[in-house]
Amino acid sequence: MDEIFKKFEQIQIKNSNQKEEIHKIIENIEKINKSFQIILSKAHFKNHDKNEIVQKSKEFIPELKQHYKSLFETIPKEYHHKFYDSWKFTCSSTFFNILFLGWIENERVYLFSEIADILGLEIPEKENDLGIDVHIYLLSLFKFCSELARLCVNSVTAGNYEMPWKISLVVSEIYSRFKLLNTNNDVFGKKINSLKFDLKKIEEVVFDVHKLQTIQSLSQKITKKD
Amino acid sequence: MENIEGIFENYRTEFDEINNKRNRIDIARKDVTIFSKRLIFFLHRDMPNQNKFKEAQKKLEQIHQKIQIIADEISTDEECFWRYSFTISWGIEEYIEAVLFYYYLKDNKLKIKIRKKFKNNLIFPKDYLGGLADLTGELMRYSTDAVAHGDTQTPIKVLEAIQQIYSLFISLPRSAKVDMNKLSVMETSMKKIENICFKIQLAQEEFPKVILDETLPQIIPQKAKILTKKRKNNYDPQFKQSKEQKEQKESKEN
Repeated sequence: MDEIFKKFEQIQIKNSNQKEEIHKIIENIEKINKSFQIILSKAHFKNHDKNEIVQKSKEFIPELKQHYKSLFETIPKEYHHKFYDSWKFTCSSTFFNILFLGWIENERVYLFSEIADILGLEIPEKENDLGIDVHIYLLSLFKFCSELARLCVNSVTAGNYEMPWKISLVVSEIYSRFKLLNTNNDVFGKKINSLKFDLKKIEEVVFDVHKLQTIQSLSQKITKKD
Repeated sequence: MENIEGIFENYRTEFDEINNKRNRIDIARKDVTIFSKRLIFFLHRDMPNQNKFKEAQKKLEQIHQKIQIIADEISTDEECFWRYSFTISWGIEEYIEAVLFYYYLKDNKLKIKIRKKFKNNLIFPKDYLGGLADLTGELMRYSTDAVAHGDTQTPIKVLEAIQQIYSLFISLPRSAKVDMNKLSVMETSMKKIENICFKIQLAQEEFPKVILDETLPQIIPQKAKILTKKRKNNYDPQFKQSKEQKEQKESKEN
């Protein structure tokens, strides 16, 4: 009996040591994530400099690359899902940051493989190879869409009337793709529901802007006739 | 046995002292919260002018006196401060909200630093952050009121301030233990102002400014709409003049 309990104890100690190591790395990543997010949130300000935001936020990427490399060195490949809960959310928030940066820079949604390239992560080739999985990317997409809904409103206040059109195209496409998934009433199902409301908000903005533009063009025609 | 009785009598006096002190501090704290709430409502009530700030300054000094009572109670030693810090924090949060709001209206700028006015530092970082988070809700109400009066500039200024505060709050680590409810409330109030600014921008494109001032209260659905009718009597100079003229006419006819 004693031997068995000693073995248990050793396993426990080993586990907790591993967890501590992972937590240290994750804390570092989270710090970078947060300062990354502050700079990105400046995109909502009325007078923002787009180039400055892109330049400053790109400085974080090499650091992130290093930390992720060390994170997946400490977690052995077979045990990815053992510590899944501890790194899932931080990872999805970095994904979100890079998605948003991609939108500010190129007005385009980065695919999963592109983000993995930027961060230097390995994508599993077969289904059974568990690396970073698609689940995290999809989680970050939800947050990205709600942030775009905010950006839509703010870009109009800044005087950019084309942005809402682009955003509505992208988000409606993402929403229609999400409908292809079979979701039970789990986290995913709820998030898809909230995505619907974000889309509704964006459509309202687009409607308002479109209404304004048609009124303006009509009034111009009338004045020309006179 | 006599020894034990003596010890317990000592304990009793000690207990009573602590309880009495806590009661006195609690009463002062309640006063602080009530007065600072009143100050905030007072600042909301009218649009800012010089006389109003003088009166607000008086009210602020009243709060300072109450806080001085707490400071005097606590000033005896360090340990004492930590014992009662939990009871104070509610009042301090409210006080910070009121002070920051007052200075924001007075200088039209967000003033992050507060000058120390008391001997020992009564203000915790946690309470300060709580007060700052509550301030955003107050600013939101202020800007909606301002729009209802036809002032389209303030929401844009307020939005800038709130976005700055929000981006500061995002950066806090989890160990700071800020109330997550407050963060979400702050987010919703920020989104409200963003929506208002968006509507103003659209309306400004659509209408000339003269018409805008009249129609804005209808475009923005807020409770402030109901208040405007009451307020218009006091603020609209034309309305006031016409009212006075009417009264004069009536008196002449009579």
